[in-house]
Amino acid sequence: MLKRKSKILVTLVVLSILLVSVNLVVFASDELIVGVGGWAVEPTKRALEELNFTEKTGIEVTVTTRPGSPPEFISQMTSSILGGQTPYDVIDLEDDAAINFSRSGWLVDLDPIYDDAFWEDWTPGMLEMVDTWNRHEGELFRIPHNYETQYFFYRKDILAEKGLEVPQTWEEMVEVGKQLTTDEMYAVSDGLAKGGYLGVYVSYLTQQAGGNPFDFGPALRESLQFIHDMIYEHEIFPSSALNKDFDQVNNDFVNDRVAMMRMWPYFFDYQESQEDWYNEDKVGVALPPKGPEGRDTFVASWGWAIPNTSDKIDEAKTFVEFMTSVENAPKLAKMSTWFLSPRHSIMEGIDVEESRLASNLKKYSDAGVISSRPFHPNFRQASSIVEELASAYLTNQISLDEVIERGQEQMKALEE
Amino acid sequence: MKSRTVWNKLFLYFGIAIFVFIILVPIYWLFLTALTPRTQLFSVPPNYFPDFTLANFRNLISQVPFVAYLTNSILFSIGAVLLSVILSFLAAYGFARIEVPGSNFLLFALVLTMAIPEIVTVVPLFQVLRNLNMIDTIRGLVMVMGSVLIPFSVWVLVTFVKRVPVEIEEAAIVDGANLPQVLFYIVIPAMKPSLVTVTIINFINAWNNLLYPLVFSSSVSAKTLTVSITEIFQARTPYGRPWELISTLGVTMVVPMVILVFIAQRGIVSGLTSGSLD
Amino acid sequence: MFSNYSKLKKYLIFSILVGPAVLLRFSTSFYPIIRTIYLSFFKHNLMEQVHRYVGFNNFTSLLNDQTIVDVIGFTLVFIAVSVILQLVLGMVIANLLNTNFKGRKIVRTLNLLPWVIPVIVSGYVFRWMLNADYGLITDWIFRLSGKEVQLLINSFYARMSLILVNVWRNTPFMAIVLLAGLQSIPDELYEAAKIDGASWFQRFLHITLPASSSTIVTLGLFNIIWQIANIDIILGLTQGGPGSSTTVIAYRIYQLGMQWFSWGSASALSVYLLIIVAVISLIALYLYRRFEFSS
Repeated sequence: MLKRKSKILVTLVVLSILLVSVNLVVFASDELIVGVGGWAVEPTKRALEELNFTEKTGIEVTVTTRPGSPPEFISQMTSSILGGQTPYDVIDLEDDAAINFSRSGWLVDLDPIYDDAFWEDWTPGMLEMVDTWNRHEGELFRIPHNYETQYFFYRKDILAEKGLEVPQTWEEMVEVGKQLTTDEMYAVSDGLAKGGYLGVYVSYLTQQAGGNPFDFGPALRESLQFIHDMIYEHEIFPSSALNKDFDQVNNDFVNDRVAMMRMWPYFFDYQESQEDWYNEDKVGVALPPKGPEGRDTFVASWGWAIPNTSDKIDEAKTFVEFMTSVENAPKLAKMSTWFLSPRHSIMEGIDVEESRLASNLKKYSDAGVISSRPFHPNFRQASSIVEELASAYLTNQISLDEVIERGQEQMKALEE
Repeated sequence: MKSRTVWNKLFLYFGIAIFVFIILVPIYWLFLTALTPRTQLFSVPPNYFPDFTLANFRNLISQVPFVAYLTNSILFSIGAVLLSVILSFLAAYGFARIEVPGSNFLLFALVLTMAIPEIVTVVPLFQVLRNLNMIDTIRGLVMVMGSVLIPFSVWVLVTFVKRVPVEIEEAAIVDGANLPQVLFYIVIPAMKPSLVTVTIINFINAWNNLLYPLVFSSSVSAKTLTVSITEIFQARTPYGRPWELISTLGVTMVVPMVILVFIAQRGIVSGLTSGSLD
Repeated sequence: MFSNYSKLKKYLIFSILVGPAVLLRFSTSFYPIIRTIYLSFFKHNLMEQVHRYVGFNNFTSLLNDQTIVDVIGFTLVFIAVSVILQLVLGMVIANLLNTNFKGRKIVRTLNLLPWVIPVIVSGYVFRWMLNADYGLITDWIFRLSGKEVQLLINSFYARMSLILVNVWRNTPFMAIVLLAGLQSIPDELYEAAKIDGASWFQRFLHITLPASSSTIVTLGLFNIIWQIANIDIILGLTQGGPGSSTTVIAYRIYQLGMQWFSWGSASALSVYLLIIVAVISLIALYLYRRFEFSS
């Protein structure tokens, strides 16, 4: 009896060792894996279907979600690439993550895919943005597929009801805000969580105060003070926002808990998807309230990039070329605002008045309030420094002076 | 006097009730939210009696490569356990039975490595695994996890090896058995309860481990359930954080552990504490 | 049994038996530490492809950074408060589990549950229960006191919550260790003390504590170190925030190493952590020796 039991045991042990050592469980895929943010999965899938990508190129594609916030995404990708692999063959990259990846040398140069005719489709402003945020040492490591500026959304109906005008300056925001705030609704909110959200709002306000957040100068001081006052002194801004990302704030807005907010353009699609709630008269878009030095909002873009550890680089290039070609760009822009940018072909191809986003983009651009994003070569860590100190100040752990002092120290250490 | 014992008993049961309550509330919440449909999840105040549904489990399986991750977790845990228990048993026998100058010091150094925080070793280990081409492989994970479990296993097993009477082994040798046979047919059966206990404790530790799979795996080939739950947490959907999926995955990770604990409760306790009582 | 073997043969068999385990463990523990110490003298950033010798620069700039100093301070507070609470509550629970009552076996099993749930899962569960809008605990606090609290936004409450969740998680383990210690104390000692007129507290102080002290110290030490090293709970509950108020050294090392890829700084901070761990171990060793002689 002992003999039989031990034989079974031995076989089991040997089998497990074999299984583990040979790593028999292989889940490789023959499909091209494209990683996009959660909100972009549906639009991308639909675009591929309607444009018949697989029929035209013979390439099967799996569109999957990548971590939404830059630091988490960077961690995931870095470990993977260091191991000689990548979880995705094509990635949709935001500016934040792109900067760090560019300097690492891990992304494939996309220049060879495009010719001069392609670049003629781009406006001078866009080309400038491409150079700063998408090129490194001459190589094009990412090709933007959209051009997003942040809009100032407000509840037309509620302001009209209370006989209020849309605020045009920071001071008016406070005045109007006090009259708007009730027990159920805050006048103003934004996503103030760390991890790529708070940094955006702080940069936005700091620019309006006339400076660059990474300098840790008077402009940053003014903008942080403004947020702090809105939360604690005027009480028109909820402190719970300190734990919220953009999706949660959007959720608050469509549940009547917030009346005004700065938000990225995917909110246009989002609000319309709330069929029970949405109607045309509820939400209006106004120019950003003017700060001490300006009322600018900055541009950000997402773009396609190919990690050079992918084993399907050629197919990936085909995908990228397809999704950004002059022929397809207008069609994609019509399908989803995720692919909207002021490229000539797109502006000609779509009816500007028909699309809320395009008409607002035009409004902002005509008013000259679109500027470029505050830049830093080690964007990710610099942003983390700003966010951590800003968050500590906004939760009343340190004073503004300490924010400035520590910030300058840490930035210096970073740049050494 | 009688009233005093009645009061004592009352205090006792009250204390027990509070204790059990505090332990069970988070677990109750975990299971409750896993069974709550997403639409009822974010109610203010919380919904204690939602319409129970199994939809979350279906969603989880369709949105996440669940089978792959589950397989990885299982292989990883079993692998780490086998590696650590086998190597530790042999080492424990060596330490317990063979007197060689320096063996005490070696054992001390080995047990001392338990004091090293894992996070400190992660970066160099990453480079080592990369050079060996073992990043994102189960065998790489098994190797590092197995090695983490070794000191504790050796520490415990040494005590239990010493409790096996040497005479039985010597008798077997007189009968003509060689060392492997002695180990396999005499010592292991005599130590079965402690070996089982160490196996279970190690399995629990491997199954629950987050840091190593998080850092050393990068794709579906090697990621485990613990990594999966952090990925779900980080996913941004149009609806905010998918808490119901987090709970659902949490439940699937917890249920095997709970079953194990109920089966092996007494063994776990004695195993955990025996190493120090000698 | 092996005493009549030749010295060479003894060494040989010993090496074969003990070798694999020891080699594997040392190569994945001592070797990485040496590498970490080596790397701490360099500025090494993976993304920017920088690798440059900077001497003690990393160490000094870490200490010049007030945030890091706060993190170190909080780590010590976190561990001290957690461990004290765990010992006290653990002792209470151990005594509870030592008395005879109906259903004791089930309660002992239930006691293990917090220890057996993956730490990250308990982190997420508590994060949700403490959520300002939908949290279960927030709701109860509101119902009981009428106050609306935002526990994870206020730095003090966030820290308190982290400590309490950590205590919830680890006390069962401590309780078991203490229980084993209690069970090894012969009843006669207690009987004799009772006859001598010792009060409950005196019995506790002079019998229970000294007798279980060696158990407390050894397993307590390892538990402490596991807690210092554990980042799962912070990853799940607060991710170090608000600001950096619930960041501990280990979590900061994780951020520096695995999120910002600043490996030189991560290594330097690791060295600081190792120093702290070494100091705690030495204190524990000293206590162990003392108690060994006094019982």
